[in-house]
Amino acid sequence: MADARDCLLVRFAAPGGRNVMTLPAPADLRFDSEVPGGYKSLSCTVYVPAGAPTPAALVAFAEVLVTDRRTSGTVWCGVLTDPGLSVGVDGAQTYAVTAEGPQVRLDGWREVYGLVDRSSESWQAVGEFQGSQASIGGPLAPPGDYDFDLPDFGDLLDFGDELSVDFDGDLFGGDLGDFGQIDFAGADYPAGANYPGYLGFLQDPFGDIGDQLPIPLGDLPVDGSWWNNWEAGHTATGSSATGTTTGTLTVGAGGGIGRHKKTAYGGILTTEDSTNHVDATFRLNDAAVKLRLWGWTETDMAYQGFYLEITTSSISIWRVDSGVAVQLATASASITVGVTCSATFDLWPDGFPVDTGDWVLHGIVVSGGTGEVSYSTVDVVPYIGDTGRWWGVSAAGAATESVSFDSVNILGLD
Amino acid sequence: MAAIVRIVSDVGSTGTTLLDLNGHAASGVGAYLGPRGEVALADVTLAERAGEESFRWSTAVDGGAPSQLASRQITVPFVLVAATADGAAALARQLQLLLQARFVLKLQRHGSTIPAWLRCAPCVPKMSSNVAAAGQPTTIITGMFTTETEAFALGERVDVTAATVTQDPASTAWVLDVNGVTGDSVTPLVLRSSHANLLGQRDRLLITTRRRGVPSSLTGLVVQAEAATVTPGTAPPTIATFTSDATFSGGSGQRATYGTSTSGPWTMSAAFSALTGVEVPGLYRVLVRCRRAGGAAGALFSLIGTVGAQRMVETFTAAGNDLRVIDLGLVQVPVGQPPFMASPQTPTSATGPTVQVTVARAAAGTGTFDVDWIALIPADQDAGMLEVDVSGTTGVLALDGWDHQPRVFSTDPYLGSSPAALGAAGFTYLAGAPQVAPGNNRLWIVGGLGTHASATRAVTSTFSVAASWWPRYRWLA
Repeated sequence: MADARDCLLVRFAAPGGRNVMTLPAPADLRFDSEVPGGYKSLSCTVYVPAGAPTPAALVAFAEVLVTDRRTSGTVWCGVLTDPGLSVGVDGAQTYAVTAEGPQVRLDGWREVYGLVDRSSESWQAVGEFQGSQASIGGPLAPPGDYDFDLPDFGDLLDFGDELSVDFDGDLFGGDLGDFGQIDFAGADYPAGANYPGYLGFLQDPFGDIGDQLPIPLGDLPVDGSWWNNWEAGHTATGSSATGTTTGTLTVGAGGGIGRHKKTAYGGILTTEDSTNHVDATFRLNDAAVKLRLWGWTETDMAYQGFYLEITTSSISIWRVDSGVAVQLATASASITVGVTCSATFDLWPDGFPVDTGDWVLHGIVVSGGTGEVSYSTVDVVPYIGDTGRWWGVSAAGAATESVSFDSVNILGLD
Repeated sequence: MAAIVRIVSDVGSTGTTLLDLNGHAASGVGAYLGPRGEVALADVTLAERAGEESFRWSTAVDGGAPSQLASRQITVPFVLVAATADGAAALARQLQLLLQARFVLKLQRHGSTIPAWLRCAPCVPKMSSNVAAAGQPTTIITGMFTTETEAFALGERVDVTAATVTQDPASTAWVLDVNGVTGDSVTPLVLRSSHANLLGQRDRLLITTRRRGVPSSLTGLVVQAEAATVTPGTAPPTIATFTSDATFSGGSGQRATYGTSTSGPWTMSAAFSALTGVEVPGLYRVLVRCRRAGGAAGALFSLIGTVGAQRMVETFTAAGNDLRVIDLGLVQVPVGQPPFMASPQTPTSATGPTVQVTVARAAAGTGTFDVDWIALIPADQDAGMLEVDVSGTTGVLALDGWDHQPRVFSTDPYLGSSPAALGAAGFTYLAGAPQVAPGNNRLWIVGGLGTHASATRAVTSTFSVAASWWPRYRWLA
């Protein structure tokens, strides 16, 4: 096999792979490649003597493979485009085979065609859709709408690092004051026009569960929807997941995050008036998930406030100062996964009903389980009594863990 | 013994005689060869090549072998003798009928003991008869026919007794020897096996051939991973040898244990120092058997093979099985170009190279990555891949070297009593099926290259393989 052509085999495999024909390279075998694109075209002539069966492998769309029989390496591959059959007077068949490789797709490939019904007789192509664009070139000069359409990057759980959008090399570092709205999953943030020039961050208040998730929430969406305020990365499900306090809070990528979008009553939050404390009826759907009932927090809940944390085995009170959470008190609890419970988190004067000037934080599993915890030396000055404080709930734990709510209330207001 | 020239029903001794063209009936009636000077049995031409090439001597691999034959033509003169004019016409009719379709000619030269068969194309004989005198019947017809034939004459089929092919390179593995091949030309081989480990198991097998020199002298093709030198890269995993693992050759291998902060690359260097001699120069495929487990199961790895200046990259794909043989590609030994020189003597021997294999993990994580062995498998004469993409197939697999197709029969196609062709869906063969040359030949059949999730080839796996070949002749002895 001194001549290289003696080493080449041409293999034709009809679609389906059952009809295969392999033969030594015909003397007129020619194939080529081109950069870019690779294998381009092939031609050769296959003679089939009179009386021999018609080879079923020599049909359009058959896979054509040229291999080096010495090494088993593939020299060329493509798809048969035309068998080029002609039959001589003696019955001999001649196949002037042509095939094309993947290179030709560079010129002729179209991903999507749009078709509209122009009449009852025919369909007509009216154009092609542009492929999605994953980059923006040049300066962004508002006003104007910019479609920053990233390809689907799948489940955020697969991210190994922070998800960020880099504007001019600095995460949201530029002046965004002129932005109108940012579209996330079809919802505009903020709802009002003219972005206020602030992009908030939602982060794990402990800073130790996962990466931060930047979200475009500089101001409150004012759309009247309670559940619409769950953070990105979480899923609110249920038949009435919008506009009610019923649904499921699922822990998303990055660990536990929370939501607190209800203005507190403009006064001291106590059970004295029986109107203004956090109350929830819920189910812990996983053994490790943590339910947090928040009260008396700043709008940016991660930085200061109080919350009651309930797990299947403990109930505890935490205080967050400048983003640092400190456990104030803890007690054992007993809650069964999947069993409906209710709990409250409230505040009353020490020695209630006799007001001594101190305050007691109090959390209790009212039904469905057991657990009660109190903390009596609260410095209430920074946190209560002012209009503009917030309450809410959050869940923490591993991704996909969840808490389901039948209701979440701040008594007297919901 | 008189020469044999017969039209027969089939190649081989099982073929029955349809017309004896050199019969010697006592009555004198029958067909005879015509003038011996007109007999031409080996009018052979080489395949036509474009352009004229000046003579150049080369000791490179197969450099001295001629090109494939393109065609062959034979001329057979004959004399048909009958007792009556009708008898002569009947003989002529019989010959005409036989030559109208493809026919097989059995030939054996005077004094020879080895018959050969030529598969011939249809032709039209030239015949004539002279009328000696008015009223005298014509009982003698003379003539000749010239026909295109296959380029090679064939000898009697030779069956190679089934031999066991092993897969553990702790001892000689993968080898099937086909020795004592006769004829004067390279001839295709038909491999046959009914072994469930071969045709009943989903896998991909590399089948290669070495038929020059003394193939059995080509040893030292495997280096066990535990004998390789390890060089850690940046933030490497913990690397150590392990033993007592029945899944691995010799029970041992090299293991990398990963942590999320220790998932960097590491390199093994395998010196093929036992691979040396005149049989060594040639092309080889670099194979690495490896396994991932624990947190590394289903994780994407890349293997980077480095041989001299050559660098090859192949992935251990995330999908599929976790124990497989990775084909890194081809290397030339000695490294570089074939050592050609125009002077009368050129380099003829070589020593195996040092093969470096770097294991790189795509994403940090835990788990282990084990390497069993690194091998160089000859791949410069015939090499191909048998893909078995179904499991549980029974019957007899016949890899037909004549058209490179795998087929499945209900029983042995040559030795069985009633072989029926079964569907061979799921069986694919790519590239060159084995051919053997006169003399001694060695085949390597390496399993475990399959990547399907259920494709797992145990190191203890063996299978029984038989073979058949037909001597091919340019010259008829």
